[in-house]
Amino acid sequence: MITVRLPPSLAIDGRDTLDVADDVRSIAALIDAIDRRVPGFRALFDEGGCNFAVNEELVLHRVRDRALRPGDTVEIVPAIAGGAARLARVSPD
Amino acid sequence: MAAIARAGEQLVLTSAIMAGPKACYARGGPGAKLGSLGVKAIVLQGQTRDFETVYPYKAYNRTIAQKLLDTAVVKHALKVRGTPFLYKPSRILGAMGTKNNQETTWTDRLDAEHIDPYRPGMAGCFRCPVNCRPLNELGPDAPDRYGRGDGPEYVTLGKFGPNIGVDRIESVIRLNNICNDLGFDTASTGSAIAWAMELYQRGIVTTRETGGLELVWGDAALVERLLFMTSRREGFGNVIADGTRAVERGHYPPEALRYRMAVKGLMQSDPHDARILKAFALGLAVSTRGMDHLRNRVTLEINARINDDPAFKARLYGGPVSGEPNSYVDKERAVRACENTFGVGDAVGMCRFTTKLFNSPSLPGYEEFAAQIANVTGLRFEPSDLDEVGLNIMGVERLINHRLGVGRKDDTLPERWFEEPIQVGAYKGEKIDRREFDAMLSRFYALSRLNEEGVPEVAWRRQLVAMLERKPQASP
Repeated sequence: MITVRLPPSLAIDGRDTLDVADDVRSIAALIDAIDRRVPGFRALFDEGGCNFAVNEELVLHRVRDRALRPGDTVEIVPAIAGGAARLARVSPD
Repeated sequence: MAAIARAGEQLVLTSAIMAGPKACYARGGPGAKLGSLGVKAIVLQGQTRDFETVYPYKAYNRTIAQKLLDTAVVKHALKVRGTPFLYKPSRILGAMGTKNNQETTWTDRLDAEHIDPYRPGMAGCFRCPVNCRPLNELGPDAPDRYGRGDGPEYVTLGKFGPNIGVDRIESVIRLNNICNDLGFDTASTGSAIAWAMELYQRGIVTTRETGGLELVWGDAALVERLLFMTSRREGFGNVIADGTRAVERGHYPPEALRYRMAVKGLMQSDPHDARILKAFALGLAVSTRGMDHLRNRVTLEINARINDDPAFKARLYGGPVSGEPNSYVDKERAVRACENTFGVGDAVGMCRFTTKLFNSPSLPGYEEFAAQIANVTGLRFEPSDLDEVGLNIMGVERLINHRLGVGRKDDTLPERWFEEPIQVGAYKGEKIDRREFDAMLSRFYALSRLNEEGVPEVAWRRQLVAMLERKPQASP
């Protein structure tokens, strides 16, 4: 299971923690899993609106490939950037 | 009204000109400048009213405002908690200047969410739709008027938190309010205190010089006392009041310069330690007014999604820029693009937070500036014309610096960043490599039409001088 900490703007029913029990082995897979529970999350990521910190370590490069292991804690950190001019869409795979 | 407070009156070199409880013109000691002229305040009295423009402009203002509000960083961070949200990314990256940058991470107790109980609301500058300024209120038990105020911003949080070893958010808020009341630039004042604390830690300064004050890290009560002393130039406060000039004025021995976190005589504006992100480092080195992130900060280097999209990044900066945050490759291109855009943003009066490339790639930039300049004045500029204006602004600033003896030797970084690697986080071991930095600086000069000394090339210099000597044209 991966524990995901959400910023206040993405809290679900007031909860800022999300437990993802799916078989998630990378940030790319985690984005899909979160998007199923938090509609619009993928769009936020695609427009560059958030960064990921894995076990308190900020990932700034090759983020989708970052490997995850059960027990990891991933925090969604609001990022500088994001907006109307979308970045190129990236396929889930 | 723009006014100086006690620090400016006493010619404290880290004093600001205040335009509100917190809003200030701060860098470089402008409060002392006004104080030296014997000017307490400048007051403009009148009513705002519509002015004549060549074309209507208000509808497009609304378009620009909507663009700001659509930006994720505004929606999810700036409108909610203001700039303190930046503390956490810097902390977990291992890039939060701590104890005068001897360390680079600090407690999570200063993360923005811990300010929530003390933030009664957000405020904004005149008619700005963003409202990114957090207000503060420590509660009914606060002993005096410093229990409520405006701020702190990320800079103050960093400079009066980790930088001086303070780990209680209530202390940072109180010190923030005192600084605002006395009219201090929190960036330079916090840095001057941190510098003194490190010198004390190393025995370069002792209680003999401090008048008995023990400058130990994290002593918020001591810092509070020191702020009031500094504002009066009283005792050791007179040393802090001289800011980066403390060696030059005979307060500290020359070896103290090794620990001074300044460039061109100006303390670093923001608390981010730039040993990891090489574009940040270059920007701080080449900034014409000294160690200041607001001139050219390539902020989007802290965005994994953008780093991972080379084509988008190339479009942003006019050519390829490495996606690796700690690489030196092509970072000069990003700094050049930011410096041009921000220079034009300043010229049209756009807040840095709402200028393209600083907080987002989708905020207003050349196209919006050109459209609104045309609406108001009838003057037509292409985005490429404005880019040249931005370059020219930097060129003129560099000519002024050259006249003052400031050149390549000053486009550098504090010694510590070349010598001492970062000790924590994913980028442990990272520092600035002198040879790589020097090569990056030369590439920056070439891209910026500067010679090897950082001065505009001869042909461009002549054009700039001709422009400066040209008489202003009448409005159309």
